[in-house]
Amino acid sequence: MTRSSAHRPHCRLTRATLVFATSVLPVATLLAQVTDTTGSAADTARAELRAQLPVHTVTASDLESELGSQDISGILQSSRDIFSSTAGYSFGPARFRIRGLDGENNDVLINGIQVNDPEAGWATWSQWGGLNDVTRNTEIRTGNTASRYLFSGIGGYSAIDVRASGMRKGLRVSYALSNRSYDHRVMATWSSGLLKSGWAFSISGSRRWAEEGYVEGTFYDAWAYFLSAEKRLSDRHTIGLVAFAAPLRVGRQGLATEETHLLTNNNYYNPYWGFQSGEKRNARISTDNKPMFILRDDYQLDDRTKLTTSLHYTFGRDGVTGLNWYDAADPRPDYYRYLPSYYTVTDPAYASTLTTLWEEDPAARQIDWDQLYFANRKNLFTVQNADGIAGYNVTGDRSKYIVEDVRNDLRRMGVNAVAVRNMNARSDLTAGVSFIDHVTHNYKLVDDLLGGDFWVDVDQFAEQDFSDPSVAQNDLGTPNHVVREGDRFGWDYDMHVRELKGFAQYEVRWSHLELYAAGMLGCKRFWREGFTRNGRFPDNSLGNGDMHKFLQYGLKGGAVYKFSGRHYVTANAAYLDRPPQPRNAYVSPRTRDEVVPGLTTEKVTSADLNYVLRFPRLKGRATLYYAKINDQVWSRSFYHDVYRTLVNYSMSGLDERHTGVELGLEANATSTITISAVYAGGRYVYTSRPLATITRDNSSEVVAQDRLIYLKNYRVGGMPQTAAALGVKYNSPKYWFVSLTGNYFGHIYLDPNPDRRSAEALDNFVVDDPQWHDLLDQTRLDDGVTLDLFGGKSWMIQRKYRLALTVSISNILDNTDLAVGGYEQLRYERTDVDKFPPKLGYLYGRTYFIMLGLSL
Amino acid sequence: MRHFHSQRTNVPTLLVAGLVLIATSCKKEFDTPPERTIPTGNILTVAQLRDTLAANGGAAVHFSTDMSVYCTITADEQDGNFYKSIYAQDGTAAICLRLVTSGGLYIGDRVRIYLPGTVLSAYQGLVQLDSINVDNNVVKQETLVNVDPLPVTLDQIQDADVNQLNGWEGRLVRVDSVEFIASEAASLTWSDAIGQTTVNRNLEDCNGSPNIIVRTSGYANYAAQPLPTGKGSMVAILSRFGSTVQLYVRRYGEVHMDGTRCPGQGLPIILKDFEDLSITSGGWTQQAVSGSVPWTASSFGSDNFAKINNYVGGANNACETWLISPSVDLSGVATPVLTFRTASNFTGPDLQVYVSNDYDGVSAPSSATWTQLTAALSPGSYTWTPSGALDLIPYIGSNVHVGFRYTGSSSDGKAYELDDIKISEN
Repeated sequence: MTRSSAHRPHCRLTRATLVFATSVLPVATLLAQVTDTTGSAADTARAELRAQLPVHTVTASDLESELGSQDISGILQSSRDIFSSTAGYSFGPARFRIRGLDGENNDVLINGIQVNDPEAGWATWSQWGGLNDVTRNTEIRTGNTASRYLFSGIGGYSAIDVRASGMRKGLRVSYALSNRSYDHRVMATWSSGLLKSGWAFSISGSRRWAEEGYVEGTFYDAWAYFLSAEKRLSDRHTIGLVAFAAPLRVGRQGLATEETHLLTNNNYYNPYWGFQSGEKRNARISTDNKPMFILRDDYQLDDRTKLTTSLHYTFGRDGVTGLNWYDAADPRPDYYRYLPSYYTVTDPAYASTLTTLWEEDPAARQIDWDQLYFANRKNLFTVQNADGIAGYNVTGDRSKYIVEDVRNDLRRMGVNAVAVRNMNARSDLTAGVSFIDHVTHNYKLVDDLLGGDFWVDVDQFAEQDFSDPSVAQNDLGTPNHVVREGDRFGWDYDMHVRELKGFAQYEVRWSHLELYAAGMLGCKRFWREGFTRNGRFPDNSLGNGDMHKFLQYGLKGGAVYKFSGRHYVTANAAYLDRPPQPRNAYVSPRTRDEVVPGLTTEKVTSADLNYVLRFPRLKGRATLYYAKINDQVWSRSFYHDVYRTLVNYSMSGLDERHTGVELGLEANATSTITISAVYAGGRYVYTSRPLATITRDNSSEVVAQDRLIYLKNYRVGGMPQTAAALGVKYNSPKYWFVSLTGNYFGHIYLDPNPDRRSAEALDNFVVDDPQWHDLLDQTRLDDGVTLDLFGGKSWMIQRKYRLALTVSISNILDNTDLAVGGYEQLRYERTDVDKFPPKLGYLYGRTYFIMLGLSL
Repeated sequence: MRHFHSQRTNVPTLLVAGLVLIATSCKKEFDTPPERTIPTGNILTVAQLRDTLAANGGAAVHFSTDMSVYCTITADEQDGNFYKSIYAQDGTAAICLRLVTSGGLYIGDRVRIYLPGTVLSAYQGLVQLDSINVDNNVVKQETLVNVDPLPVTLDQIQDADVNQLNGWEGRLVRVDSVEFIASEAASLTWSDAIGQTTVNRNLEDCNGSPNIIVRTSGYANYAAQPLPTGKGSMVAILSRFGSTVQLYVRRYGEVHMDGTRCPGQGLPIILKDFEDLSITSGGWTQQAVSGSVPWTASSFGSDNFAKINNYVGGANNACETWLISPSVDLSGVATPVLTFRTASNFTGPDLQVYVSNDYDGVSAPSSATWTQLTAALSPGSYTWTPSGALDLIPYIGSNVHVGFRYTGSSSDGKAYELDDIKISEN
């Protein structure tokens, strides 16, 4: 049967309007006037509306990569192993990760307490940032290793000892001048040493700040304070309390596409800021303050047995702000429709107008805060039946644009006990048990209404998709909720995690051979507890969700064979069956209690073989390693252009393999000159074809199931897989030194967008089509070289005081073209992959860090 | 460095002093920017605004001097049927508003539109104020202002070119006693929610007025809903595309069409249009009495139908094949009629149409009593020919089957195409 022919759209834009457009928000305004003129294109444009709505997805690796870019971890304080110290100090800024392993494989301990976040897996080093003076006593072990603190992960562990009695007695003050994330750092620390009364105290505090950091529009404002008190009750018994916190407020940097880098001629272009009344304002501000308290008891049961028991508690806020908007134009300056490339084909003249605007007008390429206020202040609106009260109408300016604060507040308590018994002259037995009760409270607050009177807590996607207005409510308990600054909205739920673990380890030594074996058994459970009933998911959003319980266990062992005290070989192997990280396990915890299909434990196998040299003038290590992590899950939310909707994308059965070599060699060429060489050659690849499930974010309707993702042999992205360094250091007998290190980074890949690697994405393309390779090829970033200088001198004053100056200049050659991280956008268009190009982050150019310290 | 002499006593002091020194806050408290206002200038009515287009000889009018127009929004984007193109009116006239970016204006908002930057033009006859930047051109005055729809008949709005639809172009109107035509109301949805294209449906009244198009976006949140089957009223925006009049529903809840349909416009009781390319869907069966020449689904262009031809393998084959409807309950129907259409070619016996009240739905046709009906058939050359209305009143009952009997011999046989078999109330 024939259908009546469709007409073209009934209203149509005249192209001449462009010329006469006036605009206060130049880019946003102009661009939207070049509207598609065909019916189908207009429909596409319509779909676009949904795509530009604010989307919130916080996932483990997103957060990690963001943090990693802004907060170089404390691995800086590395051990004596030349490989580990170079990896931390010289490779760290390039996002190098030892063996390519995530933070969840590296355990961090403070006074024996594991401080990895049990929801996300990794430890947040910024929680004690700025306490460098008191976190110096750190024992770092890389890879599979024995540990007398816990059953450590396959990446190794860092054990920070902050007991007051171990701190060097005296006062130390220092000032540092830098041009990295912060410009200034002041720090003061005083430690009493062990007093005759049996007490020991240590206090430390610092402040780090920058009005504007290395990247335009960023700022840094961090404090830190620390108190440790310890009392020796008897020869056998010591008790100590530690309290510290590092309140931090940081204006962040956003990654951007190459097009924006070229337009602004700045690889550090930051889309997160804009002018407000002439001042720079950043929309993405992280604010953290998570104090931690540790009470520790060390008890010598007998001559051979030591028991360490700890209680710990941490709580506080962790949040990052961002723009949100309702029924209005996307306020982000780098939205792809505001870029010239979007018009290159359809309207070259406009593309060139935009190019000029981007190149010359900072207001056009940054957030226009004044315009947001302007729009909000005259958007008169009446909320009918506000707050669910029939007949209660609220009239005022409804904010179109707001700044919201996305919070992940936490509270965690735990208890830990470890006993070490010296069985005989040859052997030791360690056994420990730990319990953690952790809660992350996830919610959003209205941070700034930007001149408007209120915001209404409804979901704009759902408003468009469903004719039933209750579906759009984020909180059915308070429909049409009128929220103001400080009010909660959007979502509100707790993620509960409880974990009980026990481990035992046996070590035995002979003159040429040492062996150890360890085992771990534990149980981890987690569940979501919703505080609001979501209109899309009224039946599985409120209250306690399903509890997910996982048994976990691990086994490992190793051997050291000493040819002599000067050189030896070691070998280690481990197998772990561990629970998925709760943060990765949910499809969309913001709205509902639903876990990724196929959720199961991860199976981890790891082994390494090392040859270690310890000659007086030649030290080094060569390592071969292997790690396999199977059955991982992966979950993200993004706008899918084929389904034209926001989807939750989950994969299960994701396997990866990390293999490679580590070489580190340090030679004393003369009594004053040391030469070091380090090489890390890794190959980190996905080894399975995971299955993806795609659901609509709005309705959990499954739009694709068991989609096979062809990820085999793609490289794991986000870090250099190859890195090398060659350094020379001159150590003057006159208390000064200088070192020069050249670094090479290679095999840097972006993590593959899984959906692009599916038969569905390739549908109808043949191998000769350009799209075939555009979709499939993995993005590899250019290799690069940097040069770092490090020097220092110290003076003794009146034989009492020690004054030390250190100068570190990184990337002396000012190589600003070394992209070291980024991601392939998950949103993509099959026919034109370049429409949503990757976003990249670059290594800082030349930076310095100069510190003057005085010890009394 | 001398002042560090007596370190012991100075330690706490130093620490405190140091902390105080560095405690200069760098947390920025931002000024709120000053209020910015939009000038008013001359005030135009909507009718005066529309007149400026005619005064400019129909060429696009670009506003540059301070001028404003006050009006009330009558259609918005909330239901998804409108996108960046909404409507407003005052006491004098109505107009289509084209937005630069979607969003921000809602039904019942009384607004002042500051004209500089906007462009007045006509697209396919429809006068529209284009390039409106809601953030920069619109100041809201009041919310929830009620605008009563203007009651109109289909007859009054049939000609888009008659003096701009009697001056009602873009107006909010209400049409009463209307229904979607039977063939659409029977089985179609408002629009194409899957392909998300925009779709036209046809509205009729009981007076034989020309049908008027109701146009609905595939993005409307009711696009996948079935059309209402009854007769009633609808509030809509009256618009046009060239000389074609179009109605756009602004709120799904303003459609109330559940009354009894117009006489003679009843919905089909059974409809077989072969659009799904299935012969047997809906309970239809075929019975090969002799030979093996089946009815098969076929298409020509975009049209799908059933086809049968006994010329197979280079020769005519003797056969008798029936296509039989499912059992139809006509017991409550006063004036049932059967209609269909055929196309044929070549020579041979005509297609025969039968009706039965005692067929069991599975057995050979010979097991039941069939009465032949007389229908108009295709004269040949594949000319589609409507059957005319075949009266089924004598066969009213609870178990009615209709059958199409095709026969061919070893020496001749026609090719038949059969489509749109429908039993409906006359």
